Amino acid sequence: MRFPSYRLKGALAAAAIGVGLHAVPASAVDIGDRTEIHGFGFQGYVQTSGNEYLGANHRGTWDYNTLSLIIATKLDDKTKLWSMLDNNPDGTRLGWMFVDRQLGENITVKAGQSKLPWGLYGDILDARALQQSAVLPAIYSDAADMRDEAYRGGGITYTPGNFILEGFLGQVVNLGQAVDAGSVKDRRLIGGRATYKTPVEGLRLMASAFSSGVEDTITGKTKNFRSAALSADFVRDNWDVKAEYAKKTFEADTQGYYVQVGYMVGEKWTPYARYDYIVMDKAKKSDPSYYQKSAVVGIDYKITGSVSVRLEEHLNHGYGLPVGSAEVLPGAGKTNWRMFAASLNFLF
Amino acid sequence: MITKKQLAMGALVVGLAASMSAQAGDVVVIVNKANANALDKDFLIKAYSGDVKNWPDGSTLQLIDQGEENPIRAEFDSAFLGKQLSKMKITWAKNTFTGKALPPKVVDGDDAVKKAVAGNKDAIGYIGASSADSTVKVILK
Repeated sequence: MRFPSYRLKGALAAAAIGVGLHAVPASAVDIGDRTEIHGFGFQGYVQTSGNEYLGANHRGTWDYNTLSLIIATKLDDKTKLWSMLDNNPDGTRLGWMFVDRQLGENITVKAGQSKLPWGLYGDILDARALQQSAVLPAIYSDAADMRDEAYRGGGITYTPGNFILEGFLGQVVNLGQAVDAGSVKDRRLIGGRATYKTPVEGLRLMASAFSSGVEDTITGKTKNFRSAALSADFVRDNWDVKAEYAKKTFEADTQGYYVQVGYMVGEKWTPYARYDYIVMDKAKKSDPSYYQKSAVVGIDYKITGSVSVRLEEHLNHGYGLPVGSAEVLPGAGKTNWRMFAASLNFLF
Repeated sequence: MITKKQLAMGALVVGLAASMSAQAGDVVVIVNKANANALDKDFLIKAYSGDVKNWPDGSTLQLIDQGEENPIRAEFDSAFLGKQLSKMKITWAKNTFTGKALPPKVVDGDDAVKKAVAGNKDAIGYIGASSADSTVKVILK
């Protein structure tokens, strides 16, 4: 299903922002006792000084947006049916749809299609309102292809003490990522994520990993796609500090890390800064076509508790991401370039 | 003419008043009188963060929050959960948008919360200490 026109999509986004501006509490649309509808979205603008990336060049693009609806239905006291519909420039898609059931005080199981729990942002990739920047760190970019977006299968969550342990097993679902879906099939997947809430108030540590078998439809051979991330997240008082390191082993070894610091000034303003590094192919780590170092500075302004606007500037050295997204050919890009990004983020 | 000393004293009084308003003693956590589960602050934090969904006896937690505009909500978040209201909103938005848990049911006003808790064996909520009475059980203060 596609929305019939951008006019309708714009009207939906405007309505959603209007709902957010009226500071509606988290339970935005409550249909009886059993079903709730929530949503989030963003409208972004991206402009670059040189290389094309995220569909943007020096003329800029507004084609950077998502609108998502989440429908949750309580089937009984311990069982829920969840589904999420995404609409972005690639069209409308089912982000996830699964049934979960609580088996005990600390155990929940689920079956269906789910976002992949990987790192701090893997399962909230499009929810910009819950993130700190307008453009996610490089390790989350489709261009880097370090993580799959969703899987179809089963998962279990166990929460003993200060730990949250998640495990999953199934098959990769590609939702329009850089992986060439035409050349692969049957990506069997196994993985997990462990989160530890440390005794230091506000500090979480996390480790995520998954492995999937990628079968080449031409040769019939299966290769292993392995990806892992180590994450630290410190949110206390007005501080929000995040750091992650990730590594992928497949046709090329990719690794990257970032450190991001934000500090809320008063109730509305949060300036932030990030240093971001990625090397798309370790064997070519000194070639600017295959690495990218970015210094990012930005500011977030909360219009209401549910709507914010964000402006940020990226100073880049190397153009590994534009090459990874196939928007620039290796050797043909500008080594030093800038990118400006802005976004209006909302949830309801 | 207000002197700097008077301004400083005024600021101190305002600061003290603000910090006192967030003391746990002003807010109490209540459950149904028939609820025999033990509860400590760690469990409460996990429950109101969506990390725990069941009571120790296996029944499903029915969380109740008060409205965002009601000052008791921010007091509860700060005194019992150790977080600002805005941070708790983000926590529940993440829970919702990852399909982890739905936010607590919002019931506004101490009387309405007492009525909801008294009518549901698995419910848990919070009210002003002065509103507590024999229709519910105070489990944390």
